[in-house]
Amino acid sequence: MEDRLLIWKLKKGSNEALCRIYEKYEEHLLASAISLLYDVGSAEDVVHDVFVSFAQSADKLKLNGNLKGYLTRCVVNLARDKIRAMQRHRVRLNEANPAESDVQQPSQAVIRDEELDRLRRAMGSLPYEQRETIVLHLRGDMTFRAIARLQGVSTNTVCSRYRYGLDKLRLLLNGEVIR
Amino acid sequence: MRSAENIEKFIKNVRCKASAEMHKRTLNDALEVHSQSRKVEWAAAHSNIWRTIMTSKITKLSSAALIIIAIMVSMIYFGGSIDGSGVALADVIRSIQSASSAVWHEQRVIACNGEELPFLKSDAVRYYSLEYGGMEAMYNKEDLLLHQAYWLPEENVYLDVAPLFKQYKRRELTEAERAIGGRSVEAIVELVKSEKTTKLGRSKIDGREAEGFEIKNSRIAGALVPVAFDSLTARLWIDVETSLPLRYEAELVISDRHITFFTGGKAVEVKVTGDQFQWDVELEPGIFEPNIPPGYTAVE
Repeated sequence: MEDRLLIWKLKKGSNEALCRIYEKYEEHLLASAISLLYDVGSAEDVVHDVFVSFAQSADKLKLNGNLKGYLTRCVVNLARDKIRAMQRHRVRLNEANPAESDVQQPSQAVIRDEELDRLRRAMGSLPYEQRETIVLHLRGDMTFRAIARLQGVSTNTVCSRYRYGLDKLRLLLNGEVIR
Repeated sequence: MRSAENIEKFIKNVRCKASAEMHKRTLNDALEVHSQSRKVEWAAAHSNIWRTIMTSKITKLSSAALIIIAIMVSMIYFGGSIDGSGVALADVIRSIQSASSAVWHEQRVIACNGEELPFLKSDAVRYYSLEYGGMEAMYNKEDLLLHQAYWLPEENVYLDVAPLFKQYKRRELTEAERAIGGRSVEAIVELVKSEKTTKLGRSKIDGREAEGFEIKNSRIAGALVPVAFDSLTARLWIDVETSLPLRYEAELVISDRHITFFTGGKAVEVKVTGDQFQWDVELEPGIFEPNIPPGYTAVE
C-alpha cells in the first residue's frame, strides 16, 4: 500500500516520494546487483542507472506487480547487459593482450558485511543464468513461469537452473566447496 | 550447516549498505532527471493552455509596459519637476533619450478573485537598443521559454516566436510601438495633456533614492494598450540621481473575453512589475536578430 501511495505521489512530482523509494530499496537493489555482477563498482553503477532511469520515466510507470520486484527486474536486465558488455570487452582484451584479460579484478570496494561477501563470491562461481534465476525468484519475487517467459526458456529449465544453483550455493556457503 | 531453506531466506533478505558517495550521487542524479522530466511533462500538459494564451491578447501586455513608461514619462514632462527641489523632469526624458540601451526584468502575475493563477505567472528579460529595437524572452515559472518577441523599428516588424508550439507570428508595429521604438516620446505627449499624475514622494528602490509617480485609469493608456481593461493603476519610480526609471508597477483589472475565457468569464487582475534596470549596457546585435528555426509555422 505504501508503495502505491509513493508512486502516486511521485507521479504528482514529489521529490520526497522519490527519496523515500530510493532509501527503501537501495540496499536491497545493491545486494541484488552485487550478487549478479560480483564487482561492487559495476553493481553500484547498475543501481545508479536503474534508479535514474526510474526517476526519469516515473510518470509513465504502470506497475502490475510490486515495486520491489519491478526494480529488481530492472537491475537484472541492466546487469545482464553489463555482463554481455564485459564479455565483449574481455574478448577484445584477449585478442589484444591475452595475459591482461586473465587477471581477475575483484572490486576494490570493501564489503563490510562478511556474509554478503561470502554470498558474492559464491554467486560468482555460478553460471550467470543460475545467478539470474535465483535473484529473480528470491529477490524479485518472480514465479518460475514468469522467469521462463523473461529468459525465453521452458519453466522446467528455470526450475533446473534454480535447483542446481541453490545446491551449489549451499555447498559453497557451508564451506564444502571453497574456490 | 545451512539448510536449503535457510539459504533461500538468507539470499532473500541480504542487504548491502551503499557508500555515502554512491547514495548521494544516485539520489542527486535521480532528483535532477525527475525535475527535468517534470518540466517536459508540465509543458505537454499545459501546452493547450499556453497555446490558447499565446494566441490571445495577453502577450500584448508585453508592449503595454513600454507604453506605460512612455506615457508616464510624458506626463512627468508636463508636470514640471520631480519634487520641486531642483531636479528637472525634462532630465528624465533627456536621460532616457540619451541612453543607448537597457536591460531589465519584468514579472507578470495574473490572479482571479485574489487567487494567483500560478500557471500564468511569467518572467521576462527585456532588452532595448536605440540602434536595433526591442526584444524580450519570456519564461514560465518552470523556466521554460514561452516566447521571444522582437520589436524592430527599422523593418517596422513585430515578431513573436513560440518555441513550445514551433510557431511564429509577424505583423507591422502599431503606432504606439513605433513611437516607443523610435524613441519619440514627444509623439504621444500631445495625447496626454489631460492626464493627471499623482506624486508618491520619495522611497528607496534597490537601495537608491527614487521619486514615485502614479496614474490611474489613464484614457491614453486605454487607447494605446492593446487589451481592454476595466481599471489601471501604474507607478513609475525614477532614480533621483540619474533621472532614469528604476522600477515600474502596473495593475490592471481586465474583463476582456480574450483574457477571461480561462477564468469562466471572471475578471482577472494583472500585475506587471519591471525592475533590475541596467542602462547603457553593451548588447550583442544578435539579441535583436530573430532566429526562426526550420519547421516553424507562421500563424495569423
